[in-house]
Amino acid sequence: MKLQISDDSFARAMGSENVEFAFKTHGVEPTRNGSLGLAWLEPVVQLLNGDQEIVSEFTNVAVEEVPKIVAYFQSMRDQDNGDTNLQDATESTTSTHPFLTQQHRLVFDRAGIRPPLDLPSFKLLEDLLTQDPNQIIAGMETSGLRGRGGAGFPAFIKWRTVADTPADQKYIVCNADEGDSGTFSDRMLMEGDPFKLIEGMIISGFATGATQGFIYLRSEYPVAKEYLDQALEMAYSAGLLGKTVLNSNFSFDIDMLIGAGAYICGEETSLLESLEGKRGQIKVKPPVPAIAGLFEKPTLVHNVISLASVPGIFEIGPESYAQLGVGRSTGTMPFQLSGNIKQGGLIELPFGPTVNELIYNYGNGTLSGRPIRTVQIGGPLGAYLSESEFDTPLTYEAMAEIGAGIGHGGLVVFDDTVNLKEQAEYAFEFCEIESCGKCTPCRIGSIRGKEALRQFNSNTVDARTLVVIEDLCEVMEKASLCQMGGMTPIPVRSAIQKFPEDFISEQTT
Amino acid sequence: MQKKVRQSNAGRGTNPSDLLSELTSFVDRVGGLMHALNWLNGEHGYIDSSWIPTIAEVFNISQAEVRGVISFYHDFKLEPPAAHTVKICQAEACQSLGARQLTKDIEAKFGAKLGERTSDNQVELEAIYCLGLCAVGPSVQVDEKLIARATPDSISLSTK
Repeated sequence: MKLQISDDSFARAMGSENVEFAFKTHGVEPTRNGSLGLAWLEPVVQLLNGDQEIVSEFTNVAVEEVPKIVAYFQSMRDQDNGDTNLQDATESTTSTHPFLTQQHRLVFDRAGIRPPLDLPSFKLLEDLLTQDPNQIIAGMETSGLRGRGGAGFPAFIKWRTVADTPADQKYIVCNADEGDSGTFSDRMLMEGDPFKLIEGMIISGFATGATQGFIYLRSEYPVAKEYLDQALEMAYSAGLLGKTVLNSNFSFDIDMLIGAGAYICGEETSLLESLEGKRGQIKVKPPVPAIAGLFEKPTLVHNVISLASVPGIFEIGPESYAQLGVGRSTGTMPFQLSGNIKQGGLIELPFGPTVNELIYNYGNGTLSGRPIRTVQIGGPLGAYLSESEFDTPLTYEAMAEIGAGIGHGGLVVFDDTVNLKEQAEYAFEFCEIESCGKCTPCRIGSIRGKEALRQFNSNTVDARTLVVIEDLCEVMEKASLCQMGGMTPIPVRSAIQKFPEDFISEQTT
Repeated sequence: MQKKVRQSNAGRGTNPSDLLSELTSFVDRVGGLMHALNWLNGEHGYIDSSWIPTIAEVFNISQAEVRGVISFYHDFKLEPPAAHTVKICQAEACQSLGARQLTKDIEAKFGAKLGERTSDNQVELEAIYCLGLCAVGPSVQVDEKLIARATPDSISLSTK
């Protein structure tokens, strides 16, 4: 018998460290596992039998409950002689929870089930390393994988470009600067199954001819750093990284750089500048990083989930992967449900569920118990949806039709106490704080937009001000080099268009 | 390029010659200046202006370039930090669960505004934009400790 406690940022923020300490003071040394992503149930304590089956489980464990659980654990352990038919054994509530059982986990198949630092089997990788790199890129094309970081660009085009560009050195760069509010899938993957990411990076390196990988991790994720540091060290010891990857002729190294609190470094050209040790100012494209990226060398930049999707694609086969999802939105997407929601967490599904399905079937409505008024999709540069749009399927195409985007797959739920004028103001303010300063419309327009919305002390803005704001939005959208300035108008406009009552009072219309 | 840099706490680095030897280990690494600044900022809680000439010398760049990098990133500070830092998430997911009110309550509790510190230098309140705990907000970080479902009462400095 062993006692296992969940350990990731969710669990720690919900108090797992104190609970773990309490177990230790009661003479029980818990082992640690990742989180399944049922965030509202953290921390989770499980009792496992000799076959690693969950025989009992406790959720939302508080320090006060520890003595009771310890007594239970000890009585179970005393009864257990390899006999799993224990009295009083309660079923696992997380692994049988509909929130989890209805999911289709391909990227997160191991996370929260096997401990993050258990070295998994690398049979698939071994096999891929004997194949023709072009075949692997062809497999990526068949899979239809599109970048999961936000832009949704077909992955294989980048892979092929890097592979076809002659150079003495090529790079794989993992963008782990997951700064969008409402997103945490990158973090959960790095904390829950870091070897999946490492494996994805090695495969992409082998296919494109890159021998050096970098992980650019945001500083706000210290727990992910802890796990990645250990996983990288283990990967070197196990011969997974280094001069002869799994005893093949392929050499691949991974180094990690921690960011320093700049949201803009999630933009790929800014990230590459920062990785070179400079200010994270964005650069004009073209040339695209796949042709001239880090140190002007061909560089494949992908976010964590894009890279971590790669092993799964070859595990089930690129054709089977392409069967998942809808149309050109193929495969699975780890959606992240957050904000004012009863059951928030990670929901990996093939593309295509509606917003309604996620917020009601999985999320079970708001935490406050009040009606849902809006959902912001795709982070701080994403659109606010009105209730009539909640039946839109989550695919790249359907979202584009309503002027929204899936982005990094985050859904932030707001109840009816939200004021969309405040949210629009915040969109400008965030742009002001995080703008790298290169493009005037983004640097100055964001400040001007915030001021325009704030210029009245009352909660109202007159119609003329809205014309000024629309002008600003147009300039920002058309004259900013990157999406920071270019997409800030999306939350602003969606708020104004769909919730005009929050902007114009009866007196001024 | 793949040279591993030790991550120990060795060397306080305030003496220019100590600083020089510590920083030299970062020079050949990709992103060396970022690694070095992160290390200094992590070790001391800030980057002292008096270290900038040495940093510039080690990396063979101008002092202006070093200052340019420091000023670009929110994490890098040029002043010593307060004894405790309370970071309150200001982003959307936490807003949906009352982060604006929570911020006001925490400001009242400590008697300092966001972005400022208490007069006794004990607590500094800082805005942060997403800790990745969006499903269990509002989120606060007190020094190293993450706090989900934060309330003014759940913020205590003894949690360190």
